[in-house]
Amino acid sequence: MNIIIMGCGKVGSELAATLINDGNSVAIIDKSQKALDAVSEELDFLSVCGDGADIKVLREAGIEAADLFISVSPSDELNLLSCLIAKQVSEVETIARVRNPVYYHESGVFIDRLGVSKIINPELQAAKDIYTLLQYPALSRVDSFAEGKVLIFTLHCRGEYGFAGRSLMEVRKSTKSKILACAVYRKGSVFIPGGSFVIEPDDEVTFVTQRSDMQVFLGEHNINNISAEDVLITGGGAICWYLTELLLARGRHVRIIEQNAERCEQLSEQFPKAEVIHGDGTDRRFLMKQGLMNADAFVALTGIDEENIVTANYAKDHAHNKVITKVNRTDLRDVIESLDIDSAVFPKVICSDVIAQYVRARKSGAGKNLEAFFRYMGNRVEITELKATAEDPGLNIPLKDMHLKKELILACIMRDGSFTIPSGLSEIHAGDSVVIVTKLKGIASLADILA
Amino acid sequence: MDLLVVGYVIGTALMIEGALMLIPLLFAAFIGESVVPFLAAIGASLVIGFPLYKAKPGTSNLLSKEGVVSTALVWIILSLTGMLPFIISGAIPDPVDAFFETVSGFTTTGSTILINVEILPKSVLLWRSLMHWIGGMGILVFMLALIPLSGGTQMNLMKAESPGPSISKLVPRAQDTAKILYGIYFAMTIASILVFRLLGMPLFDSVCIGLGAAGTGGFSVLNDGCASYTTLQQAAITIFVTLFGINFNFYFLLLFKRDKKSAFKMEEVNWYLIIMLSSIILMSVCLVVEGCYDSFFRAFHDSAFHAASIMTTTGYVTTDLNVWPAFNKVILIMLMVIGACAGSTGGGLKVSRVMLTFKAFIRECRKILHPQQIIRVHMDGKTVDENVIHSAGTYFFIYVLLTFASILLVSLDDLGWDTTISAVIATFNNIGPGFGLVGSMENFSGLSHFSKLILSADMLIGRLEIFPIMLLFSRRTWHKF
Repeated sequence: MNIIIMGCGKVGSELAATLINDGNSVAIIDKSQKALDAVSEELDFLSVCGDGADIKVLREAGIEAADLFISVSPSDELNLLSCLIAKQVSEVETIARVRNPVYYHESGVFIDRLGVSKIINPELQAAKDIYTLLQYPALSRVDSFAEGKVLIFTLHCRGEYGFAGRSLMEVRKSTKSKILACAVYRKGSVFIPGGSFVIEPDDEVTFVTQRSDMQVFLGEHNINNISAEDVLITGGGAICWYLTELLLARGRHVRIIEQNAERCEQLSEQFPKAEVIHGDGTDRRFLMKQGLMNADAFVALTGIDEENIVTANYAKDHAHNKVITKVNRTDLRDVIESLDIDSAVFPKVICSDVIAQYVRARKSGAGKNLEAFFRYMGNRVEITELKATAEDPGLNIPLKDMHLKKELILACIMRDGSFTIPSGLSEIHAGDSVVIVTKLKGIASLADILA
Repeated sequence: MDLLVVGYVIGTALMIEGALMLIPLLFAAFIGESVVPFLAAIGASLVIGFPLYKAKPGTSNLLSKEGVVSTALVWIILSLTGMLPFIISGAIPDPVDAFFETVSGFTTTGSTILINVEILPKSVLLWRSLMHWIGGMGILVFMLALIPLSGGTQMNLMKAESPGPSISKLVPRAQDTAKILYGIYFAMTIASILVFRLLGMPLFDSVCIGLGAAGTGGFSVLNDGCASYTTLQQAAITIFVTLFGINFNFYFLLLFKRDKKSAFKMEEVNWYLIIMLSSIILMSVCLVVEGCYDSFFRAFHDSAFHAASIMTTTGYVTTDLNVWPAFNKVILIMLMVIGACAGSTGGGLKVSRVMLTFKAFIRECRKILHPQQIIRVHMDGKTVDENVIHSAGTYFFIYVLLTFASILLVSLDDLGWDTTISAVIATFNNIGPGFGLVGSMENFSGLSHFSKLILSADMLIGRLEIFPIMLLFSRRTWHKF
């Protein structure tokens, strides 16, 4: 596909890397030649320096022949405007990133009246992810597949957990739940484990299971999992806004610390039930005074990565609660993995994952096949949900006779709402949803999983 | 410096060179000449190339530094293997002469040390012209078109090999860009060969002259250059070399984007044609006034042929330019230095670089008058990045410096002003013939081995636009980081 990306920031370049790797032709538009040059050292794309809302610039990037226009510049207004202009000169599909809550509630208007195909709001998605993590504080990440029936969750294994030091075969035999460990992160390397793999303390283990079985499994292995009632948030930006909305709707108690007085006013105007505190959320004594010790969870959402990481680390050291931090720079992932922070949420990665999923789905035939796509463990593992159609190869034969690629497992099969962990005798039928966990890149259809 | 990646690029390029030598090999077998020279050369390329190619590291990316180094080394090593057919066939037994001739071929210079080319095996002559064709658009661009390489690798190779102040990708993917460039190049080469043949040139001559015109090389297959071709044939050569000296973006806009307006508005192409046309008129008037020619038509025809041939840095000749008036010689020297368009197969400083430096000069003048005024330099309706202007200026300085240094070294041969200076300018800018003892009806055989090596280096430096070759000699290039 011919794709134009407007905005060569963190999201734009991360997205370009994924899309180029998938075999698309990519042009990137940015106002800064420097930003473009830095990325073109590593990637093969057409760089166009200019304003994304300028029709001449769009033409130079080849808008007439493009299939997809993605605007991910920092400005919501520019994103929407450039989509509108792109639409005037071409039949291109458009995706815009819109983050401001004020605009986001109007996204229906943008889609209907401006002809934007998709509005991406990574901040809202991040808020939803944080919300799920607050419901299941023991987990470091949860994603749902197959209309919410299948959960993929990641646990940081502690010594006291029941499965520490046991092989996956034993873990599977001892549990009443249907569950499969599908990826393990250990000291910087990623494993797609087999049955004899022994889980050690400090491993990050990703499991796949059905929604009802997760609590059973956590209960069996002495994993404390009571949802957080009292949440302390620093930084009152867009993620905080969405998160507060979600938490208050469930009757949770929310305290927000924000440095900007004006923003405090806005927040308190919008959320009368939340406790809005004006002050410096990075000041440790101040944090303590605001009751960091008593909160069930601490969420660091300021605009500065380093401060988020430092305060989250401090909170983890001094209070025994769930700690979540937002991180913008994707290259800080390794640093966070080495620290004792429960969960980190990367809005930029979420954004590029969502768009990459959209593009892969479009490529594999009108979005029929690819249902969901997430990247785990610093982009080293891809988890993809595919819907089997009658034309796909490899249907109706036992898995043991299918020649699957290496470094890839079929984590589960969903058929008519029932969940199966596949064995060698399982078959894929047309209409099934399957979840693929792999270290390979760019799996977008069932044909891709066959060796 | 990741030497394995550099080795991989060199290995691949060598194997492609080996494959291309199959063409003269098959031709030799077909007309019954000895195939041994080519067989040996292909063997040598494979023996060196294959292990380098095989040692490819798994995932490493080629960065700017490796791009520059591999480009420089590819051109040197390909010249060393490319000269084997000349030595083994006995056409040019002396290694220094053979190296000079091969470098002159690949860099599309067309300076020769051969006194009598008509006695050489036809297959060797074909190889000489084929080298022009390969070198014209670039062996690494050819490699990009054939082999998919990882992201940054492609751009870094293309940047290092393609001439011009800044390179423009025609389409998002470097590989597609390379395919389009070679597609246009190939089609135009076939067209030129067909036209030459239709105008009655012998088939072998049309192929060799066509390949040479396409790469803007200049090796001919007759001792008198192009003098014995008919007026019509010469006119066809004039037109085709002019076409090959135009920036290939022009053809891309015209053929693929169907955007006639932007194509004909390209400033560089306009400047190129205006400079060429005014030189032709000035030279032909001078020829008639000075009494060298009786008919204005003849004077115009010869002026056009040589202006086009010299400005595009091809170097085909039809007459002895040494007897032309000094005014015309100076114009020709100026055309040599200006050269063809960036993004074409020609050499020289490139019209766009001259244009940018000139515009920057105008800007300086205006700034002296109004110091507070902010002026950006424009080209094709867009502002030009200050870095591009700055590097064009630097390039010009180092170009002049190296030219003078080479002149100084070649002057040790003590062959007189015009020979010494024109030999350097004609090789540095990849033209071919100069004046005096290296004039259009003479050749470079009279120079010492030392001078031939200096000029070979000049040809490579000129073709790769100075920096890649110079950076080979920097200690920092070879540091690990």
